This record gives sequence, C-alpha cells and structure tokens, in this order.
Amino acid sequence: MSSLGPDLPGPARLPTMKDIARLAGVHQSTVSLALRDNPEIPAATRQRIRAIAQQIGYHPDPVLDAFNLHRLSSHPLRSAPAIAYINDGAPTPAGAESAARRATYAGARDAAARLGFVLDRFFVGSDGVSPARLNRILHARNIDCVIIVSFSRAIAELPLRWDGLCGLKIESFHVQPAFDVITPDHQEAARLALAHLRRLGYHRIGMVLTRDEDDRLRQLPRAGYLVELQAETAPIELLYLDETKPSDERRNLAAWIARNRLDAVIAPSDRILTPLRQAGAAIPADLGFACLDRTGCDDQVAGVDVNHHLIGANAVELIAMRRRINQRGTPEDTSITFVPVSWHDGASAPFRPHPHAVSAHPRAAGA
Amino acid sequence: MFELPSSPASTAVPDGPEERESARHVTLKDIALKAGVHFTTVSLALRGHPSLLPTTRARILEIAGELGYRRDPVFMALTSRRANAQTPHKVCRMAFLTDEPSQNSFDRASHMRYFYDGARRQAERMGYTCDLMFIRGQDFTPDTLEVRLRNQGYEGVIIGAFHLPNTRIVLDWERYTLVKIDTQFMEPDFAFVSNDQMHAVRLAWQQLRQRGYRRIGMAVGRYDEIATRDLYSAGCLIEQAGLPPEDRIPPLHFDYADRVQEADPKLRAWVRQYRPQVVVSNWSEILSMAVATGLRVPEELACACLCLSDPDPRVAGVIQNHHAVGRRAAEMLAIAAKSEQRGIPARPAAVRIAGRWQDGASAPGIP
Repeated sequence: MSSLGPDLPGPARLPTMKDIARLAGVHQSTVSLALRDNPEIPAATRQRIRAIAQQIGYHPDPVLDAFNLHRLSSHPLRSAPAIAYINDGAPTPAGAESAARRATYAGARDAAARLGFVLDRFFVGSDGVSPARLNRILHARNIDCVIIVSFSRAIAELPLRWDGLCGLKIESFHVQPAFDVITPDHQEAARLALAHLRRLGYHRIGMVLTRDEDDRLRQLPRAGYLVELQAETAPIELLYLDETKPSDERRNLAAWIARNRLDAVIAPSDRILTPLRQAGAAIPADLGFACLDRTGCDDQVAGVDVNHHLIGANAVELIAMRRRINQRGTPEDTSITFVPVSWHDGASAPFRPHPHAVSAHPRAAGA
Repeated sequence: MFELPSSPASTAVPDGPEERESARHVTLKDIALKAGVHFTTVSLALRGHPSLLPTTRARILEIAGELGYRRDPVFMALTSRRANAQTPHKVCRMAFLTDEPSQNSFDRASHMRYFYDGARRQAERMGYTCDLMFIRGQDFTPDTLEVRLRNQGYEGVIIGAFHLPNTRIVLDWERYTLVKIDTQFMEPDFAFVSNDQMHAVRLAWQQLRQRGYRRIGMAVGRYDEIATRDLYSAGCLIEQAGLPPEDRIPPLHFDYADRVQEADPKLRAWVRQYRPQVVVSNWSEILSMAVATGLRVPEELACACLCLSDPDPRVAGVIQNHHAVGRRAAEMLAIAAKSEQRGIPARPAAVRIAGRWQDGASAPGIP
C-alpha cells in the first residue's frame, strides 16, 4: 500500500451487519445468524455472507460485544442449554444401577455443570420413551445435544431428527447413525492384563467372554488378547460362554481349563467368578483371575481400572465444543476416543514365582 | 448472583431526585466516606466477598442503598469485557510443528498438508489460529523453538506426524497444551490422534471378501507395526480368526530399512509360498510391487492399499481421512486449553479416525 497521505478518506464509519445485509439482499438477522454459523441458514448463503463481510472489512464491534456480554451475564440462568443423556432400557433407580453406569453419568453431570449445561436424562427402548416421543421432547425443551450411552445390542438405531442436533456416543459402536465414539480402551485393557499376569508369573492365560460382549465392544478385547498371544507356540482357545447351554456351563468351563492347561483366566467382568468356582477352579490357588473392567469389583479382584467418570466428562466436553461451533447433524467421518486404562493388583492373581510350569512351553517343561 | 438493594426513590436523601439526577453519580468513594472504611472494602462488600464480616457487608450495602449507588453500565461493560477477554484470547494461537525440512517437501507430502489443513480450518472455526512451523529449517534449533513459541504467544502445540526416530523436541512442557498426530511413541506421552489402522485392515478385509476373495494376505512395514503397537496385526488376527486354517496367511513384514528394491523379492517369495489371491499393504507402492512379482495383476494377484490419501481409479483400498485427523487434533487442543490442562498428562487418550473404502482396478473382485 502507498503512503497514508491526507487525500485518503478520513476514518469512515465502521461497516455494520446492516451494511452486509443490504449488500447481500437479506435481513440483518440472517447476517447475524450466518456469521455465527447457524445451521438454519443454507451453507451457500452463509458462505456468501461471510465473503461479503470479509470484503467490506466487517468485524464485531468490541464495545457492543462488551455490552452484550454484560447484558447476558446479568441473567445467566434464564435458559442454561441442556444435553440429553440417553440410556436404553427401563429407568433404573439410582441405587440399582451398575457402578460403571453411575460413574459415567456422574462424570457427564460434573462436566456439564462446569461448562454451564444441564444434563437431562432419558431412557429409550421398549421400557422407556419411543424415539418419536423423544424427538418431540427434545424439540419442546429446545435440547440440541444428544449423548447415546452404552446401548445394548437390542437397539440398532436411534432415529431422531438429527439435522439440527449435535450427537455423540459412549461405546454403542453398533448404534446408527454413526457418531464419534468415546470408549474405554478395551484393546489396551486386554493387553495390559496379559502383560501384568505374565509379569506375575502366569503363562497359560485363557479368555472367556460372550458373543454379545465381543460384538458390543467391537471385538476390541479379543483383538488385544490375540495380539498378545501371537508369539504363543501352543495355541489357547477362546471360550464363548453363551455358545453352550447354561446347564453345560460348569462342565465346559472345567474342560476348557484342563484342555488348555490354563493357569489364569481373564474376562470382561467378574460375573464369571461364580461359575468358575462352581466348575471346581480354586481361585487363586489353582487359577489366577483378572477382570478387564474392575469397576464395582471388590479390592481382591485383580484387573483393569477403567475411568468411567472421565469418559462421561470427555463426552460432555466434546459435545459442548461441537455445539459452540454449530457442528451438527450426522458427520461424514467419525473418530473413536480411547480413554486410557490402568492395572490394579489384587488377591485373585497373586505373584507366582514358580507356577506349575517354568517356561512358556508347558509341554516341553512338563516333560 | 449478588443484587444491589433496589431503587433509591424511597430513601430520605436531602436532595430531591430531580436534583440528584443531574448531579454526578454516587461512587464507591462516597460510600466509603460515609461508612468510614476504605473504598476497596466497599468494592468487596458490593461484590459479596466472603472475606468481610457479614455485618460489615450488610452495613455497607445499606449505605449504598441510601446514597442510591448504581453501577455505571458502560464502565461495567468495559471491565467485564476486559476480564472475560482474558480467557478466549489467552490461548488463541496454535502452532502446528512439522519436521519436514522445507515448505516444498511439506507440500509434496499430501497427507501432511491434509493434516494441517484440517487442523487450521477447525482451529479457525473455533476462534483460534493455527500456524505452520518448521522445526528443521536453517534458522531453527531446538532451543529457538521454545523462544519462538513463547515470544509469539503460542500456547497450543500440535506435533504434526514427525518422522521417527530422528526428531526430538524438548520444551518447557508445563507451559503448553499439546496433542500429537501419529508419533504415538515419541517422548513425552501426549494425547494423540491418528488414522485407524486396525479399522483400515478390517474394512479392506471385509470389502475384499464381499468381492469374492478368500485368500487374503497382508504385507506391512515392521516399523509401522511397532509405531502403532501392532494395530495392523490386530486387524488381521481378528479377521482371520473365523477362517479355515488354510486361508489364514501369515502376514509379511518388510524390515525397517527396506526400500522397494529390498521389499520386491520378499513379496515375490511370500506370494509364491502362500499363494494369496489379493495382498493388502500399507505401502503406497503396492500396485507396482504386485506387478513386479511377475504375476498378472489383478487376475492372478490383486492388491489393495491401506493408506490412500486421494482416490485413484487404478488402486483399490482405504482412503485415510487425514483432514479429519487434523480437525480432531485441533479440537482436542481447544478443549484441553479451555480447561487449562497443560503439561504432560498422567494418562493420555488415543483418538483414531476411520477411513473409507474405495474400489479400484487393482481389486475388481472374483467373478
């Protein structure tokens, strides 16, 4: 630019939204919405308005901003935005909920409070509200953020009018539409359990799970298990508990342990402990045990700690950001956030300096 | 929120309301004079500060009411803006660090460009800026990085897919919020975002099976396995788990130093031994490597690439969503910065972005 001579026009009036509106041929409220990226304005219009704004050098007036801020801050509670937190199944009384579910909810609620949101909890499915009714409720209450939380395999889709909504899932990989997912790092949990059990002196570690868990967790625990077992010379079978009749469960467990010469077992939850004991396994004398999510287990149980509170908090933080920048509707691409896990030593898997076999090749060692 | 005693109209002040209107506003100092305290005490009392005795506070409030003290709206707007402006403006700059030696080489690496574009656009959408910074330029040493970040007010740093293991940076970590793209194992351990390699393998596998391929083999760099902690193998193992043993082809691993000329004979020998119908690989040269085996491509040996950056009608495979990786990195950074999470986290999260399948002439399917 050349020198700022006196022939330049004096400090002109700053361009306003009205100027942009005149140039764009729209109402000034449209300009206001467009500059805030409101999805109700067509994307093409938003782009055009932003281009005009840039062309004429519009920027928000800081003093007006200050006034607006002042005005808004004097009645901040008039309508705190709400986030719908959606579980499936029947509404459960707080005391009857699983520890994991309680912790996730508490994490979400704390983060919501910190960020100036309120959390509205709903239960959908055959025992809860229908999607159609949920749609009406969300609309009536002006709720535009929805978090789908740990749905069971019974619900494959949550058909809401997603266009104006910000959506996110905690676990619930299988639920359509596809949104970003926040989940415990199940794969890492399995790897961590195997690594620590080996450190503690276990060599033949079996995994028992159900097909339902395997599908619901998108095979992640199994993937971690298989990767850790790659170097194993004598293969170890997986046991799917729901593939046998309940009446055969004990016999199958006992046979599986004997056939694979297991000295430890890992499983997604500690529900398996009772059937294992009924099958004649003395834990931890004969068989070590570790659980892939210790939440709600007693201190004796070795295994992996999962920070469900953090998962709930992460979900709320992410959805609050998405709402702020008006990133709504079903996304074109999705991410998975794997929240880290950690190991917890417990009496169910004590240190075993000299187990039954002394090497990773029990057949050779046992000879 | 604290409320001042309402309207002074009923209070008995010597001057009539009309006269007072024209007089100067009542200030904190007037109240202080009458209450016999310092004006800062008045300020604290009016803001309901807990350090004052409740009786003192009540007395000062009463005097304020008597004198008809009212906050000056313009002044309040400005101070409120000044106070609030600190938060959004303090951490509004992100630096995207690259260890590419020059702008030219950066531009040639399309995935780098996409990472950065995604990050920059998302940053701007959130009210941040995101600048590209070369840390291997001639005018740059590890020491100058810290100085430059500090002087230019960067507080968010994205470590953009460094080439391991030759790059190391050392910063006063506690000053910054950091997110890594790839480079999971570069010290220190920060949250990172990357493409979902396990998903890519599984997606390719499922798509190829749908197209009639039964014998699918995977050939990947050993280094990439290490850098992702075996995510390629994890995908392969899960997909092979349900197959008859004769269709489970052991993966081929290229060594770290292998270039195409070293990899070609390895691929040829592996293909001869295991006779795959299709090979999936994370090497972008896989099509020419398949041709170099001497087999007819795709009739005798089809191939698919796991890390396409852009659609290519000649090559089937998974298009990685590098833009989304960059976007998610900027988003994580903004969320962390907003809650003042700085320094090295105790247990950082991992975020992975799914790619999408793209058909191509290299794997047309088996009729």
